[in-house]
Amino acid sequence: MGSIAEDPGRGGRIPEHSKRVAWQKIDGETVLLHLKAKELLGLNEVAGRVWELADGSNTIDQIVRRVTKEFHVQDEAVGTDVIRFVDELIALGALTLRDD
Amino acid sequence: MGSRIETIRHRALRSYIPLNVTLELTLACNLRCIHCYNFDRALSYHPTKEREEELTGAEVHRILDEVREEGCLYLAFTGGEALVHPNLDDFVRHAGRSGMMVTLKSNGTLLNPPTVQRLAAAGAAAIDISLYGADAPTHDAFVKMPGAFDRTVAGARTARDAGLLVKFNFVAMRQNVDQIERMIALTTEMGIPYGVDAQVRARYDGSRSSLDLRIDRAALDRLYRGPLRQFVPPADEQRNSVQCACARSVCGISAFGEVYPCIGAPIPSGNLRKQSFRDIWRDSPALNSIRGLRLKDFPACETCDHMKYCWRSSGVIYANTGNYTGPRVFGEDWVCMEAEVMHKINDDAASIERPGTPAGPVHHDSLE
Repeated sequence: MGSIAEDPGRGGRIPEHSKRVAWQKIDGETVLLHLKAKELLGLNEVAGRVWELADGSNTIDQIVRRVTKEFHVQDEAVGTDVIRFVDELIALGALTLRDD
Repeated sequence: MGSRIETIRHRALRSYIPLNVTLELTLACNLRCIHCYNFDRALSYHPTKEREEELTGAEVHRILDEVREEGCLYLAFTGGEALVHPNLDDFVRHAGRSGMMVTLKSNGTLLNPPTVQRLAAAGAAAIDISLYGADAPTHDAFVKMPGAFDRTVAGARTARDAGLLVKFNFVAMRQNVDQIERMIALTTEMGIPYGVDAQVRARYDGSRSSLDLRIDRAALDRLYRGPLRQFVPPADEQRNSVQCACARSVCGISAFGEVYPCIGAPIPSGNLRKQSFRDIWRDSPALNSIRGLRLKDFPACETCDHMKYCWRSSGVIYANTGNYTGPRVFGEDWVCMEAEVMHKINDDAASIERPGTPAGPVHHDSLE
């Protein structure tokens, strides 16, 4: 799958958690556990929130709107960051994408 | 990233987050292992329980949600034999979807291709399989089922080929102590890692004949100077505790909803049919008592010369002596002898450079 940063229709796509990772919020920090590699990845607060929202019930556009609202940050920058982060998680096998 | 896992584990230990939960789905089993810690398998079922009393599907779902909410990341289903439970796929799916890593603890005999495919599709990540011999006569006599060895080995291969993380667990006992080297060769040839434990516990039904299976000092010495040399722990000069993760980042739940500090330490700490997991985990006097223990509370260990070499398991000690902080005096439990033997081996090898530090033996208290 190519980068969604290059995909003009990306905003309507829905990211969801892959079976390849387990995750938990530990002392306020979201950690992802890659099941095959048994490696942990720690996420900061905003990334952790994106991860929670990327549970198959929100489009990328919806996630951007929620994060923008909850963290009181500027829309364009958030959109770019969310898309880059989602791309990274797809590359790690932590997220998959489906169409609405 | 390995150190990242250690950081998270330490944080869970410090903050009392139940990162590792083992849930016993049933006491029923298709084998009759002679060392089984559940109950004497010469009986058809636990002497004071009924199978109908085991947790229902709805209760298991609720418990999975509650442990998840309280911080569980690593969820293990055990038994009995977890695979004889008719709703196992459903439980695996429920736990996996909520974000937990699901491991099954199994004897492996029921891991046929359709079952493995179903479990993998449901989201099972790993399977720990018990192996008690390097050949069918030894293993089958141990589990009291002809053909079990072949089915277990085939099941492990099937699970491995399906992409599950498979690991063998050995328990070194009188019957198989001279086969450990061949067992290691077998699993190595299969490309499957293994863990070894030589500690045997009294059963949870109070019967103690399983303790007769423990190996003696000579066999222990032979084993740890031979095929298990890599498991002799190097002296840990920094060690100032004999405690494991029981009640701090580890928790066990019985097939009847009883919460334990660890599935290997059956100290009743509250029942999930009467209280929520959160209330028990946070407020149970038994769990909080364990969290408050310090080295001075372990009378024989505090001044023991062998402490730095000891694989002491509070659960095993509790099952064997009735005293979680035991032994009361050095030598009251078998593990004292194990530590003494390891200390001697280390002393003998003091001038010889050792290989790198391996993972320790797999005790029930440290299944993380």
